[in-house]
Amino acid sequence: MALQVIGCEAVTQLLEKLMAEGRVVAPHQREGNKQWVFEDVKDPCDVCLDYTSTILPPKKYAFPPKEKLLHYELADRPKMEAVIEAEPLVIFGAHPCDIYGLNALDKALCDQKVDPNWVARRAQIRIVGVDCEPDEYCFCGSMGTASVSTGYDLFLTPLNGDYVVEVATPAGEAMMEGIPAREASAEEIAAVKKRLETKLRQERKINCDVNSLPLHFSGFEKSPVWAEVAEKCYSCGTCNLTCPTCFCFDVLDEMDLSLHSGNREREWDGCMLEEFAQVGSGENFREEREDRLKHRFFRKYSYLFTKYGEPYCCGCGRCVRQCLVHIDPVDTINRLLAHSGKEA
Amino acid sequence: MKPRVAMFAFTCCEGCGLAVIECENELLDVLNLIDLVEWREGLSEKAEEYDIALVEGSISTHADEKKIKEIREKAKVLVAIGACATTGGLNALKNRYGMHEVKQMVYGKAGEQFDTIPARPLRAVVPVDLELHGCPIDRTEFLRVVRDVALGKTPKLPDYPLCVECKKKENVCVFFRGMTCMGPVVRAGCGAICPTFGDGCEGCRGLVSNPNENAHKETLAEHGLTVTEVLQHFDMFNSYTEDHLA
Repeated sequence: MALQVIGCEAVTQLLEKLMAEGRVVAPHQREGNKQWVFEDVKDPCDVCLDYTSTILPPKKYAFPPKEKLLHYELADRPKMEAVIEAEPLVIFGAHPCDIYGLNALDKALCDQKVDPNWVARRAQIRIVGVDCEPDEYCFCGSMGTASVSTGYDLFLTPLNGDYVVEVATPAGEAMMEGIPAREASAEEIAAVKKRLETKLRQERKINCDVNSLPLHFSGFEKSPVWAEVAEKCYSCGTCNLTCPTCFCFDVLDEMDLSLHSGNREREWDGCMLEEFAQVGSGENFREEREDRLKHRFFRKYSYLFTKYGEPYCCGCGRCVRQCLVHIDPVDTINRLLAHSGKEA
Repeated sequence: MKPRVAMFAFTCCEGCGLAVIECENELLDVLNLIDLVEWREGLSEKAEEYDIALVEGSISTHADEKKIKEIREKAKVLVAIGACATTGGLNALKNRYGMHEVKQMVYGKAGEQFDTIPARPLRAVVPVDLELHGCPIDRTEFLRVVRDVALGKTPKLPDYPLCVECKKKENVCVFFRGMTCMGPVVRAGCGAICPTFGDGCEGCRGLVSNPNENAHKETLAEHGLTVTEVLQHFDMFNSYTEDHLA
């Protein structure tokens, strides 16, 4: 599709138009050192499109930290009703890595058993992507996630104070209706390509081809590197909870105090947490930090990679950015490779 | 029959009892599930018999010690509520001093008339069936426990670090705001109330079962704390050890 160019004022106009139609969420800056969050747009002036990474990925809108699955009422004839709380929503300003994360979860949550809550929300979400400049934690260059070709309706690439807009879907076309835009010149199109090339030149990278990771991991099972890295791990689950491709949850029955009615709820869980693999008898299948850390890495770069054909890591760097003890997937993978003598 | 519940308080501010009184909108529902038979802060009645004892405060006098043993004898279920009862709380800070010195410090010469021994959490004196953490306890958690007990379920309380609750709320990490926090080694369950309202966690809910204390000492040092300050962070609510009794 032809690329268009819009100015900053047109971005504001676009936001205002979308806000008039319904709920719009976008990155906003928070107090603290380089901290942003996706939240509801109240004033387009508060939106910050020039951001590095939000604390939580926009995944939280399709798969909230906590949600109702079922409401029940106890009586002679108990009543039960599945609950899906979904509404039309525009996620404005999602980075390619986060869009990749949503695409990856489309596969994982619709495989064999379709997750109805995920699907109902995803169907009502429109996405306006925006290109970014990687910081010292990003490693999308290594994961092949610096750009995406699907999963958005519009995609904005900043260029000399303007934005080059790719309209990717009919919904995107409708968004752009009435927004002043001109066709992109050949130079501008070339500049967008060049921007991606620059973005791929990241200092931090894994020392092997991303597609060879599952193969390499088959030899990492007994590596001493796991214990070394795990020694400083808190098992606090921060890496799980901030990850765009993690989707584990726990299901709890929450009966009201009246004991007449209640809700079945699901809540984010994380495989790094000590109780995650504990079963009813008290047995814990991954009691040690090392086992849990290793499991998480195998999920990201081996098990799900093999199952779905792509890494379940989008290289966003949230896990290391938010980790107080600086456990870094790039460094860990490179140490594993170096130790096994498989460094490329 | 509804279980008969008695609440008792030892060395503490009785703020956990107050947290129960503050369940204003839910108190009638609570009374549908349990019979409150004794509670100094909320009732005039006293009871000789009860099924469940909810006990706040730490054991820091010989009289406390005698009374908690009596309560244990009578109660089928003993629940420790609040930091003083579960970790020894702030009271245990006195344990590093001699008991004579402590009395002098607070009351001067008049101190000698008081009976005081090193402060202990309840489980250091009698077997405890359940511990509800926090200074004060979390009301929502209290109500959940009441409900679970009424349903005959074993209450499931979190044993993961506070960071989980901060992340779910998308709080900016306290460390990234230039402050320090005990969250990475402290038990969740309070909804990360202090970080949510701008402060660092001080650890009133006690440490998780397997805290990575070494990692946290390094983190605190990395964020500019001296060794003494690091130990103070760990000690505020969690200084009690059995060595105090020697």
